[in-house]
Order: sequence, then structure tokens, then C-alpha cells
Amino acid sequence: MIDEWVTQMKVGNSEAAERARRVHVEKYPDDDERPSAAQARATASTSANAVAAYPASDFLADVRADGQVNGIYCGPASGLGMIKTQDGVGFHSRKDGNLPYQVHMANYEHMQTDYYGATDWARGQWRRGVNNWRGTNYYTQVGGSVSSAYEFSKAVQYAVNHDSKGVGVSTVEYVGKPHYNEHPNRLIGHWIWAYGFSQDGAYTHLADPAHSLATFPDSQPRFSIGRSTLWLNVEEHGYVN
Amino acid sequence: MARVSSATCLALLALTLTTGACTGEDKPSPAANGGLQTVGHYGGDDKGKGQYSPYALAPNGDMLVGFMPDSNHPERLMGGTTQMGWRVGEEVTPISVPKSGAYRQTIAADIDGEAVVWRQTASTRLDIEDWVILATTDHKNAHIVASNTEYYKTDSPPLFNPDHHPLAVVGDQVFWSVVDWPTARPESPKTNPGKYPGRQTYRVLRRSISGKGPVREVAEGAYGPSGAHDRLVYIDDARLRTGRNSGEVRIMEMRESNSGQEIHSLGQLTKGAGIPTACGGEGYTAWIRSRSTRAELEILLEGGDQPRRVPLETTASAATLACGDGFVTWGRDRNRALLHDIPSGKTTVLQATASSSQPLVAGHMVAWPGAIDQSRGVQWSIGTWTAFPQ
Repeated sequence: MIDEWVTQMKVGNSEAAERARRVHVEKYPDDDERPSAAQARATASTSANAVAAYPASDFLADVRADGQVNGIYCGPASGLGMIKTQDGVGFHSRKDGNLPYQVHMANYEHMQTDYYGATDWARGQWRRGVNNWRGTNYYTQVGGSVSSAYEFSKAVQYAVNHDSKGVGVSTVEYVGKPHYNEHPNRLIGHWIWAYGFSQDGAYTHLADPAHSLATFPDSQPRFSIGRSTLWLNVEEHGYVN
Repeated sequence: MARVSSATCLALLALTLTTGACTGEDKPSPAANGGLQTVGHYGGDDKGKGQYSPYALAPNGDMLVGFMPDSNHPERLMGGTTQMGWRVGEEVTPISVPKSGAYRQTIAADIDGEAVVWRQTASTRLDIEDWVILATTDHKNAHIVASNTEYYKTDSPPLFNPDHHPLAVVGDQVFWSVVDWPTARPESPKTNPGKYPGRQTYRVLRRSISGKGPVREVAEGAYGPSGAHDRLVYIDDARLRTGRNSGEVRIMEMRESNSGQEIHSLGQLTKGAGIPTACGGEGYTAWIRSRSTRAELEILLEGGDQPRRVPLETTASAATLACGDGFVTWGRDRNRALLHDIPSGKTTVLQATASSSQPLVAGHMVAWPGAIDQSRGVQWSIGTWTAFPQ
């Protein structure tokens, strides 16, 4: 099926390529050589056919920009907000049947946030939690070092417009560098998720769970930002699509 | 005009201050007729890591700089505590600090004379912010002035402090702001009941730069301490004491006395309006007045009744102020840095491209971050400001 994926990618048939990729992943879940969903989608979304198919802007409907219920639940809040938006507000966990509460997403069966005290990018906890909750392998991590602002924006376009899915974003903000959504000027690790794009992908629209923190009143539940500016905060870690 | 390297510019900084002989290649300036004269550049850091970045500026161009070690651990954002240094010309002398357990990042700094202070936190989260105040007077060895563990007598970190300017040094006194957490925090009433109010409470605190003697409260319901020449400026908001949506907001100053004095009352402000930041220089005080849809810079001259209003064209929460000798700088939406010349009333754009846009100011000196180079990080420019002729 890898051959099939390559063939379809070359001809720009992203849907067929995606089908081939999913068949391969289901059949060989431990195959490191398999084309990642991100790679497949990035390549598909940058093909001429796919680009032409995107509207100038598109957004998921009825976005649930859930605020995080405590300081370390930015990962569970963003992941669950995304799942509620794209899969339905009452979507139970396919892993343990739990109701869609952040504390359940934070448990050991999902993001393991409680266990580690954080939702680490390096451990792939966000991807693991979302996939386990949804009972699929749809989401994969894309490291910022092997991607770009343009590829990220295309991944968002593909996810939102083609798959009706959101994209998780692991951000790192530095002292003295740009900070998004009124975040303070210091080193911060944080999870947000993308639910839309505008101006042909030049702007990404995201939900930020930090808006619920009582100590942080200036943060908005949803905001938009230019892809190049946002990428300064994404490239250290990456995104999950 | 001959191209002049940044190194040469910095070496000639003292000369430049008096003669205007050195002009940076990017910013040829009409200093003879007033305005900005670029005297050097500084930067080339690797996205915030790898080299020193400026944190505070001295009137002679020396700088407090900091270096954040790169993290080789995939699960940690910080690779070590921010190493502070004192930069004179092209040379940086590392400042020794007491060893600590957790890695800490520097988030604010200030300079007054030989006194240099900075604030660090180990937190990379948005809800909590432990704090340590450090100081040096010889620019080589630093000591701890105060910490949250000492102040609260517990290791539990306090709430995040959204204050833009949480640190100042005036003479031998260090001022900083904290947010005390409510009694809902389970461990707090038992350990130190006097400091745990029913709602989150802002306080401005002070202590001798020696770190000896008690930590004293300057004001409750106050925040934003800023050094202003020979005095302290801060913001007093009655709403932070009452918990109501409406209340009087005042700009305060404190000189050698132990109590704050009102400079200006902004009257009763309601929800959506506030004063996110204030600063001052010799003969004036400035602050940002925020409304729900716009913000203004207000400048009150000493002895005046009504402040001058300068439109910021931004929401105030994104802007930070810094006050110099006869001018005020601010960042606009974190992508433009501007300077307002008080005598002439003219506003100049320091930097018009994306950056962190928070200029550093001391006396006639100003340093501002330029565009971010994807490979080299933020490039800083250093210059002097001369008032436009009247």
C-alpha cells in the first residue's frame, strides 16, 4: 500500500492516497516506514490539485473553545475541545468509555497528564490521548524541525476543509520574542488547537484553553494569527494532524 | 556615508554621546536637529538561546543581559537557569548567583545607578508563578533579595502575576508586585493565614536590596511598580480591594517617604477599562489608559492637572511603556516599537516589523528589538534620543 500511496500522491489524488495510507497503517501499525498521516496530508495538500480545491477560508462549525480547568490541563482541554467540535459534544472515550471531561482525557489511558504533571510533546502524549479517545490512529505528530510555516498552514487547510478535523499545536514562547493571544513575555509551553484558516491559509484560527485561567484575563478563547508569526512559537515542537 | 560596524559604534559609544560621530548603517539620523541616532547593534542569538539577550539598559549604554541555556532534554523547556551577565562594550561578564534546585528564567529587570535587580521564575505555565528577586551592586556576584518560599513560608507556588512591570529598584530599595492567592487553595490558610485573602489580591512589596530586614507592603490593591528617576511609580486600583466592577484608579508615586502619594486620579473606572502599565521620568509620569476597544498614552507633566493624550491605536494590554529623559517608548501589538518625544509632541517609529517590540530605556539611551531573523534571532539596535527642537 505504500506503493499505492506514492502513486496516488504523484498524481495528486490525495483522497486515494489517504485511503491507501490508512489501510497500510491499520495493517502494519508498527511499521516505521509507513507514510505518516502528516506527511501524506502535507504532500497532498501542497499538490496543485489540492491547493486549487481549498476555499479562501474555512472553519469547523460550532467550535468548542473549552477553557482548561486547571493550570496543567491545556493539553486535555485543547484535545477534548477539538474532539467535541469535530466528533460531537457527547463523544465518549473509545478507550475506556468515559464521559468527555478533561480529567478523563488527562488519565493514564489518554494523555497521561496527571501521571506526568504535563502533556509533553516529546512523549507524544497529546497525540496518544486524542487517538485513544477517538479509537483511531488518525493523528500523528509533525516536528517543527521537519516542517515549515507553509506546510503547517497547508496541513490546517487539509484537516479543516478536507477532513473536517482540527489540528493540535504545541507551542513554545520565548522571553523577548513574539507571544500570541496576550500571553506574557516569558518562556511558556502550551497546547492550543487550530479550527480554521482564512486568506488562503495565511491566517490560522485557533482555540486557546488558557482563557479560563483566573490569573490570565486577557487571553481570548479564540484568536487568529499570521502563519509566519505563529510558526515562531510552533517550530520548537510542532503540530499534530 | 561610510559604513560603520556595530563593534566600532559601541566602542565609540561614549564619544557618540557627546559628538554624534557614529551613525549606524540602518538608521542614519538627524541627531543634530533632534531625533534618533543609532550607535550600535546587538544580537545574533539563536531564537532566544545560545547568546545573551538584553534585559535592562543603563544610562551609559551598559546592559544587563541574560543567556538561556539550550535544553537537551526533550521533556524540559529550560536547559538551565538564565545566566545573567553585565555587558560593557562588546564584553560580557557573567554574574554569579546562588545555586538553586529548579531552573529559572528571568522575566523582568531594572537598573538604578550601580544597583541591578532581576526577577526569575521556574514556572513555564500560565497559572502559577513562583518568584525569586536577585540583585547585584558589583555586577559580578548576585544575591537573593526575596523569594516566594520565604515570603509565604511554603513551597507551594503562588498564582501567576499578569503585571507587566513587576520589578523596580530605586536607591537601595527593591519593589515588586505579587498576586496573593485566595483561601480556596487548600494549604494556604494553615501555613500563613495573614497573607491569604478571600480573593486574589495584588500587592506591591519592598525590601532593602541587601535582602536583610523585613519584606514590607507598599500597598494592597496595587501593581506595576516602576522606577522613575528618583521615585517609584505604581498603579492603585480600588477594584482590586473591593472586588467590584467599578472603582477609583490612581497613579501613585513614592519618594523617600514610606507611603505612596497620589499623582493623578483617573476617577471611577468600570469593567473593561484600566491602567495596565505606568512609568515616569524626571518631571513627568506616563501611563496607558485602556478602554475596551482602544487605548491611549497619557503623559502628565509635574505640576500639571490634565495629562496629554496620545493615541496608541491598539488595545492596551499588548503595550508596555518605558520612560526616558523627555521621551516615552512603547510596543504596539508586539510588532511595532514607537517613541513619543514629550517636548515636541511628535511620535517616531523605532521599529516597524515583527518583533517583541519592548524597547529598553535609560536616560537618553534606547535599545529596541528589530525584526526576527529566522536563523539569528532578534537583532537589537542601540541609540540615543535627542529632543526635537521646539
